[in-house]
Amino acid sequence: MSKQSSITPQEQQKLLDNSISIIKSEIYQMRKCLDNKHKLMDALKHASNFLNELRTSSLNPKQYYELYILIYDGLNYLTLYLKDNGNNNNNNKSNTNYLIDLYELIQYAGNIIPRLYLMITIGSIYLNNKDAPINEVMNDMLEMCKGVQNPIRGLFLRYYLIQRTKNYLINSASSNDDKTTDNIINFIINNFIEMNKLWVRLQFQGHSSEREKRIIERNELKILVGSNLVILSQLDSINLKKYNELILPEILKQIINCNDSIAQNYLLDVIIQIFPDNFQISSLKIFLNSLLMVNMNVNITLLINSLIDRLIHYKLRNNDILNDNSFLNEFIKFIKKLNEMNVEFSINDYCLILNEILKLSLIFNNDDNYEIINLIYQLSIEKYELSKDKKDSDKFKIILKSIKNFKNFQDFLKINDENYFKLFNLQSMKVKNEISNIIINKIIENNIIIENEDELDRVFKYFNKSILFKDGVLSNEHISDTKLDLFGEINNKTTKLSLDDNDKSQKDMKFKNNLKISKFINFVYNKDINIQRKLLEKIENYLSNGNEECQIDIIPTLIYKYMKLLTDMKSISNEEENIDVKEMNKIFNKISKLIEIIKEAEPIEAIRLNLDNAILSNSINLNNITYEYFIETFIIYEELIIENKIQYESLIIIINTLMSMDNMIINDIEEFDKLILKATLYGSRLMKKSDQCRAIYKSSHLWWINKDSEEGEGDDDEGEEDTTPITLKRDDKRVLECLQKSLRIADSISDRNIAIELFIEILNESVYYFIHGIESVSIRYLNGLIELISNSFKENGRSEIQYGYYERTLKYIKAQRPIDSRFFDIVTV
Amino acid sequence: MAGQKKTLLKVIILGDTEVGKTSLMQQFINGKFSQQYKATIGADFLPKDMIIDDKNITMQIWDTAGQERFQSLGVAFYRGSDCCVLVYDVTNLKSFENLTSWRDEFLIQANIKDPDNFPFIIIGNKIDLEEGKRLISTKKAQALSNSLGNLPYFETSAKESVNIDQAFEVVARCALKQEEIMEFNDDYTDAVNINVDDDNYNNCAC
Repeated sequence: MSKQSSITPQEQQKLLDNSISIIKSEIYQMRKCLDNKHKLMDALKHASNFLNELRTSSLNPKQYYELYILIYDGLNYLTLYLKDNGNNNNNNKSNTNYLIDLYELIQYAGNIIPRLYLMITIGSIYLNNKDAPINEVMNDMLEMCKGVQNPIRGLFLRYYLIQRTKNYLINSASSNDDKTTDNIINFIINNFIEMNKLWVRLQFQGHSSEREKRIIERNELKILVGSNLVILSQLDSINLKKYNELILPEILKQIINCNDSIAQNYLLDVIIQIFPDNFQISSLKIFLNSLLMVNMNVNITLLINSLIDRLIHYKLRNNDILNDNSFLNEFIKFIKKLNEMNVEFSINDYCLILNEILKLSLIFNNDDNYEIINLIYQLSIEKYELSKDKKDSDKFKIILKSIKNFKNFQDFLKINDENYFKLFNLQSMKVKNEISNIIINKIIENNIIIENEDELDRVFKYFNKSILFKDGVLSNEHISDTKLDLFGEINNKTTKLSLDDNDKSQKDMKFKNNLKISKFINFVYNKDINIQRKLLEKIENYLSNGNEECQIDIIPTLIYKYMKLLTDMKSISNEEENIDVKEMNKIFNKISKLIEIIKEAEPIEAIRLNLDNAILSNSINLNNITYEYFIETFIIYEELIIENKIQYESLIIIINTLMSMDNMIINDIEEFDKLILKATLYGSRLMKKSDQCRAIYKSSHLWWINKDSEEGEGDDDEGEEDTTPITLKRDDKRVLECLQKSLRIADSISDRNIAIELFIEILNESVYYFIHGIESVSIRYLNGLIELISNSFKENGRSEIQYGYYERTLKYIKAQRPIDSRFFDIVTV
Repeated sequence: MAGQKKTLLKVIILGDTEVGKTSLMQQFINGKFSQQYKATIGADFLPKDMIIDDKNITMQIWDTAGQERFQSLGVAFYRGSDCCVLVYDVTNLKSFENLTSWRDEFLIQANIKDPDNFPFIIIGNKIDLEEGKRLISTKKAQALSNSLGNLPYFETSAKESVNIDQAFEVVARCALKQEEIMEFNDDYTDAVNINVDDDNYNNCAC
């Protein structure tokens, strides 16, 4: 019988082909005999002939299945004939007798395989007859099948039994009484038990060196065993009670007792797949309990995964039906027991299972959900504490990431997170950062506004231990080294470049994290200014305990939040006509201190912040504070802005900001004059002459400041003409001094093209003052400038760009003549 | 006394997992629909008696597992089919895209002699689902049916029993036509000559 091993695949294929042609031919001849009604006996002979081909031991399961399918199709013709023969017979009695006779006759067939196949063929037709002794026939067929103990042949024979009788089983189980149903269930379970035995036994056949081959064969044959369970699942009359009390315990008992991992893996999966969703839930306890008893090679994790996926689908498809989540406790009990029974159970698998349970819990909206979730976090900690390897903590990352699946992320700010936080703290800095990022992302994604201190504390609790953490793993010494000399030296950029890629990417990481926190801070808001102030002070406090890079990156955002608060306070006090100067002063002081922290690292940013606050304080009419912001700006400008290009750019911003200090000019002109004198002097001290020249003619505007009138609310249409500016400050002499000084500087530049360009720029400024009626800038002055420029062109040639600029200026002057007759006196030739 | 000879037809239903193959068959044969999803394991058939143009036929409809892991013994049962029904879910793009590979796989495994003329029928199921969920338009499906050789195309709902009988009547007609062609060509005749001398199996091997 075990010759099989010595057969080559080619020989096997040959045998298969030969069998196929025999079967086809015999089926053909059988059909011919059936067409001629008097030759039933000959037809049975041919059937017996093709059935003989199933006696082989030389084929593998897939090949044997090919023969089986051919034969099954062939026996269909026989079945059809016998059924028709019965139907055409009006006398029921004689039909019964005819089948009984045939059933008996078949017993004399020479070989067991053809005999049993034919017996089942006839017996299953017989079952549909009302007068047939159904139980006897069923038992007879089951008993007879025991005669074939070769696993492959036996499995296919019993598969034939279940396939042939299937229609009878399904139909009578739905139409008959309870007892019939029980009989049918027993019949199927009995066949299942026998098939499972054959299937498991196959593993131990043949030489032990063929173990792998046996495993492959067994895996191929598995659907035959599973087919019994499929039919059970198709019986309509089975209710939950029958399933839980009769069917499932019986099947599980068999599966557990065989202690075979292939059988257990497959059959447990089949149970999950084929029985209805509500059956799965109501039988959860029994099912999970048996999972605790399976062979250690069974992949419990995969089975749980499969089961939970199914339940999740169920819930998603029928949200209204499945509301009770109490079955979740069964999973908790299961994992607890699993851990008790097998302390060595892999942490990876443990986490995967916990994560599955979490996933399932999170699709429910029930109030007690978070208790279960909390319990899962607790179980994670307990499992970790059993582990000796501290590196195992990272394996719990998936559990922590579960917060991603919170239906309503707001819940994360409210639930008892004691266990979650404990688990979080066990993680490496990398994982902690990742989790903090998830928290921020979820808040931003869901547009969640943090509006009270508890929520803010909740979130910062996690940040403090991760992205804000002072001695985080990410801030290694290398980076703090460079920090020391970063700002003392001009060429700090080259120092930065010398960092290796790793450090750079870490720095990038940190910057990204900080950007995230900044984003998050924008989601902190309460419309009550007192609460909002408290919230901001809290953030400030948290930041002050954080690492320095964090502070530098995040403080600007915090400052803008404070400024927004001041704006809100101002608009409220405008309504109530009661400005709380004292409190506002305090906040401005806070802002100044915050700028102080970042100014060395980010001097340009610090200047911008100071100037923005100068604008804000000016608008509230807090001139002392405005003055101080400028002084602070000047200090940074002098001490920390070293690159000449940036000096120039900063100075222009300073000049422009000074021009908008209307309240300060009105109320505190003396202080203002000090500031503009200083700013003008800075201009003269710039390194490059062209920068000096430009800064100074720009400074001229500081002595001659107009403000657009604010009236005109009622008459929108004529608004344009009404905006005659109010002059806030006018010092003709200083304006002229500035223009003259810049002209002298321009003239001293040896590159004449640059000089000419600056002359034209000064001409343009002068025309502006002329239009606005500054007496010191006279027609004679303008003509002098024009002459200077045209002479310079004669001496140096006409560079296209500058000459074009010059021509456009002259054109502008000419265009002013119809409006302002004074322009006729300006010589433009 | 003798009635007309009954013709046996074999029909295979193929398609991705969860497109509703079992539901279509159940609705056609038993007029039932179940919300409960049960995976199909292996292959299984149900018979259905019909009369087409005065001919008595029994249609054996084979439902198959869409998931490969439940098809461990291979697909030998494709052989001898008279018609193949390709099913997709109108709300599942992947299931539509896979139709062609189901067809090709069938032609290879069933060892079809004349693939160009073998009858296939395409069914787009689950049209009861709300319009917004639908991903494959009638036009698109029609285009595919045309490109595969002007195959009959039906849109059905196994849940609400829409178009099921119509689709399966066409299936039965196609299968019957195919069976008649096969009878005519009769591919068993070659084999017959070799094995006329039977009766050589008498000793038991068990």
